[in-house]
Amino acid sequence: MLKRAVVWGMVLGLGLGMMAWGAPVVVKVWQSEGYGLEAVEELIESLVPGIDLQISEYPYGELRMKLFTTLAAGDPSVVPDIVMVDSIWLGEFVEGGYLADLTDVVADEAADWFTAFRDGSQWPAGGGTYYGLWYDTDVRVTRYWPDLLLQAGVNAGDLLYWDTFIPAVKQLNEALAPEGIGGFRFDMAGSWAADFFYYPFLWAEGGEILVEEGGQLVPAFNSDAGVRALQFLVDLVNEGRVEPQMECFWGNDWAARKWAAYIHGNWATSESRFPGTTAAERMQKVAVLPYPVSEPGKVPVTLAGGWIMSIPAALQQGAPDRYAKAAEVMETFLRADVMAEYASALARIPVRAALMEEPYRRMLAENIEFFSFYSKMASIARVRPAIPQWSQVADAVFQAMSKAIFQGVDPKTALDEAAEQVRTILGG
Amino acid sequence: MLTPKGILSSERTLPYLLLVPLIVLMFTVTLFPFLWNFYVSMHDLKTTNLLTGGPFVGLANYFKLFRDPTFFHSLGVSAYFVLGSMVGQFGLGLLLALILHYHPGPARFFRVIFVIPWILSALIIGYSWIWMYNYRFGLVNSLLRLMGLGPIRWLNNMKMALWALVIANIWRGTPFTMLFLEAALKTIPREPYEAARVDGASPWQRFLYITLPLLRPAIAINLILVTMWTFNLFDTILVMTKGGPANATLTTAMYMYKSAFEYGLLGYGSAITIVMLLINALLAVLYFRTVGRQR
Repeated sequence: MLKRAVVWGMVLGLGLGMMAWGAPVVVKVWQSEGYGLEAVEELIESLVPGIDLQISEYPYGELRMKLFTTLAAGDPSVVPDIVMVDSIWLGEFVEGGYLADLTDVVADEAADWFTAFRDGSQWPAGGGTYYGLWYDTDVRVTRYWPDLLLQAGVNAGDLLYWDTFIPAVKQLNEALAPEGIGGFRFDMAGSWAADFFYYPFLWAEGGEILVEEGGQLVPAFNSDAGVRALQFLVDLVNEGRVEPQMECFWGNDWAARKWAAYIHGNWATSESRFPGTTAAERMQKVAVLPYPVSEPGKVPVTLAGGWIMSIPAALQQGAPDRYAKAAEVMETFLRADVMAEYASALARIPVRAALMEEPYRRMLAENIEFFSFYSKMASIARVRPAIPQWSQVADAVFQAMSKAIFQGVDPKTALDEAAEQVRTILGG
Repeated sequence: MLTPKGILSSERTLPYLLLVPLIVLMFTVTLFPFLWNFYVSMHDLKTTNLLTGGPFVGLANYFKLFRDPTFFHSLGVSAYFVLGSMVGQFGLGLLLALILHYHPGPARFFRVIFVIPWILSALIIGYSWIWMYNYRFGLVNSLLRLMGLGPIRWLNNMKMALWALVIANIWRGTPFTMLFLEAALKTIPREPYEAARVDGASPWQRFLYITLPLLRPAIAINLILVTMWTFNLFDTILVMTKGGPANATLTTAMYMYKSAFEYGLLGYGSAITIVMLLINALLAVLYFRTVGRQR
């Protein structure tokens, strides 16, 4: 009896051992909806044999808190292997000790990255310690329906300068209203509205959001440049008869021709908003322009966002095998050929120089509409400071915008009040 | 000596023993989260120090709260929101309850129709009202245009945004008040009405001197519940205005959410929650005292 049990036990053990030996290593990835690895999942699995990528997607707002609550456990058995972190969250996550120091893994590769994205992958920005690598970006530009502009008798060139932009959108509003089409969509649906409608104008006017003074960050958005930028938005609403929108459909309504012109991210012209069309077809339908500037000679600036790929610190400290495998997956994803596939599939703007060269450039240009324009914009784009208090700073700036636009508070007063608030938030 | 059998058969211990599961449940889902929340509110816990735990700061979060102008602004917004919602829900709810009570024929059908807003998810309600309030395409503005009253900027106007939320909340909450008061109306005996009729009391007098006094306990409980729910409501506001424009709809519940989950100030957010709880408790005591005195 005992003999039989021992034999069966050995057989079972051998069987389980063989199964475990042949089973792929699971690599869990947590990402925001539509911004990750699924586009190149099979490619990565073929390049890193023996892995099974298990990708979990979460809504944007939910991902941040889910990451905090999971990573704060500090337990390798519950944390994912790879996490995607919004570039503006980096400081908060690094200060919390949730992300691994990945300098050894990515520093060499990062040499090929555009400066803003390379610096933005480090904490402090440009400080030399990498906690991941910024793997894609997006840019915000003016986009419009040429036929609607023509119908309203508006010249697209009028959308390039502030003083012609305002009468142009007023004319668009008035001419297209009978058809139920809005002239220009102006989002005020949350603190991110400043990313689209304030910081780019502030930067183009020569201003900054925050500056360093004596080793301490202090607010600078209430400078003359900031006041001019906010005054432009106030004029846009009051003189251009533009109605600020309290809800956002992320380009879907513009793509559905509910609006003639819109300042929004590059995704608004992508296939996700125009299903079943090619990049060439979309370029026939719609057009894009840089942000309007206050006067000829001023260089338009845009804001770039994007995601950073990282590995939880808990793995580096408590599960070296999993950490090594996650690092291998990450290095594979960051290869130029894999990134090109990814960017092409999801119409994301690349952040590394190699992808602007052949053979990748042609592939991307075939799949991403306005690729040359978007790439050029990305190369001159600015990024937000990814400090831990960013969400509070962003909200203070947005409140200043709201006060000026909705309450009629003088832009200088509104920005000064916000700056005082930000000074306190930053510990000044 | 007490044996397990003895304990189970003892009239003194058995009731307590039977209460144990409920006490454990209450402690787990109510008392422990409250105590934990209070503990967190005494610490400077942030998303950036979850691993190490925030340092103990005593009542510092509360002192900060009472120096925070945004918090006091949010209390003011909440007061308007609660008062507006309460008056609207109670008035409409009572009216509908009376109509359904005195017209039992069509009541069955209309009760189902009226209850629909109450059973819908707050998010669906929020999104529905966003569309109804839309300046260009919205149903509300289309009706206003038909009546020659012109479109109104509901959600992006400092003066209108809060009232737009109040209207949406009244729409959602009225069915509860209606059902609650209709049930209470059914408990009122017929005799006082018959006596009043014999004495020549008009319908208005019968309502004022019989119905309302006899409904008072139900009204008080209804008002307590509506006040608390409205004070704590945040999902519809999050969907419809996110506290904007320019904090015009930033209720205390919304400010708590922003502090804890957007700014990552978990200790501070917990302090706001505790203050909200105290306000709720105070309101409940006030209501019950008022009802007790009137009885």
